[in-house]
Amino acid sequence: MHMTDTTIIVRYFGLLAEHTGHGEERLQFPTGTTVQHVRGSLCEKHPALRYLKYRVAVDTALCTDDKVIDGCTELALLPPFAGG
Amino acid sequence: MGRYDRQITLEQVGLEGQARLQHAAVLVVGAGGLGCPALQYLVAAGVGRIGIMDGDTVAMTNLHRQTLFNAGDVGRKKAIVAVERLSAQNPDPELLALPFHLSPANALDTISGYDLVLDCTDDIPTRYLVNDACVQADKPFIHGSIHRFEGQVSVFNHLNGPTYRCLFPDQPERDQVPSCAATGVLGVVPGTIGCLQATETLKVILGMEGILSGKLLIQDFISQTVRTISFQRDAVQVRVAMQRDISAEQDERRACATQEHDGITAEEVQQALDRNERWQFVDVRELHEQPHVDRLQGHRIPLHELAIRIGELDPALPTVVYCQSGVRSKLAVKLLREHGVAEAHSLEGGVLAWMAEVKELNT
Repeated sequence: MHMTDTTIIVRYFGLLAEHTGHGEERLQFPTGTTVQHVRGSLCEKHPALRYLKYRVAVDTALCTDDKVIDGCTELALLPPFAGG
Repeated sequence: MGRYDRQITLEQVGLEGQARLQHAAVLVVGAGGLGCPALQYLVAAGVGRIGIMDGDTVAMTNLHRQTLFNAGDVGRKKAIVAVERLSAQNPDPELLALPFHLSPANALDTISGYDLVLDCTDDIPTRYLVNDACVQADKPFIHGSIHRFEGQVSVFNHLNGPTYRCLFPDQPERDQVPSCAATGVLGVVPGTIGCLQATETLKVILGMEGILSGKLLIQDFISQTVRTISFQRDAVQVRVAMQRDISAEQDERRACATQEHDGITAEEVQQALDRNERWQFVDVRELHEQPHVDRLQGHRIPLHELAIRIGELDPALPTVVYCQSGVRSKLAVKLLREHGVAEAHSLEGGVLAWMAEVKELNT
């Protein structure tokens, strides 16, 4: 682990958990990384993510791709649910 | 003692709040797993006028979660049975059965007649339709949805608050998000989420604090953790909803059905097998998923492992990919085609459709 890395817990909700095979993962990213960068590397790891629609919340606040992740503990990947 | 005494005792209700409930008009779209419990509590609380909209008939597979219905109701219209049961539960509310589906043709007219709407539907296009019609008619709506052991609840378009599109601006294709029929569902999950929708409905009518506007509640029923995600109104997405020409649209269900290109039907697969054609089958379900279909035996590669195990497949063979209902297999086909398995097709409707087809042939 690089000195300036930060640990992020990525939580997958709904269908995303099934497509990635994980409920959550602990991953290292350089400090100061953006949501967009994290999404990119998650897509490389889990190609199915490229075809799925979801939003990202950083520590319980929904955010856009340009959000800088500093001192974040949890990144939630939220797809819409259909069932009822 | 009166029927509503115990809630009138609450400071947040009182006689004035009870009068508000009696004067409220609520439309419940969908009388299924979410709608049944929501309706029971709204009727019990004395909401004055309730429209119950659902075009489906009761099926035996509904009974484990749709608690208004019993085996004798199978085949009858849900909206009509619901009105019968609920008027016996409490004769006070004025109940109206609307035994048809919400569609672009009827959405605006129907929704305009109510103060607020409960989205208890079970597919994505209808959820966007509820949103857009509610934005145009300026009505708040209470969203509930589930996926296996997880549920989401939020109040949209309430006093200029965010809308469903502000949360999810990109509408997924219908078949990208599976229904309860495809994923399976334990009755208590929509039961609980439907009760939360009823809770938020009462809070909105009573003008209480803490309404889930700009907040998405997510409950995980396995770990029993609840998260609340905050989000903002997005003027661009509100405009998208406002500018949609709803009444000019064709029925989307039919439009979608004609757009299938990479799919193959159960009947077509049967015919190919009967002709002894050489096909390779890929089951992308998890290993525990049932039933196993002997005639479709081949590779078993759960979707999340497909990208790294693609080398196990023969790219030269025509390939049929299947899952439970045809959602995951569509994604799998996109992946396979990217990786050079050119002639890959997704079994439409998945194993569920296959079983129905086989049943039809044998009866």
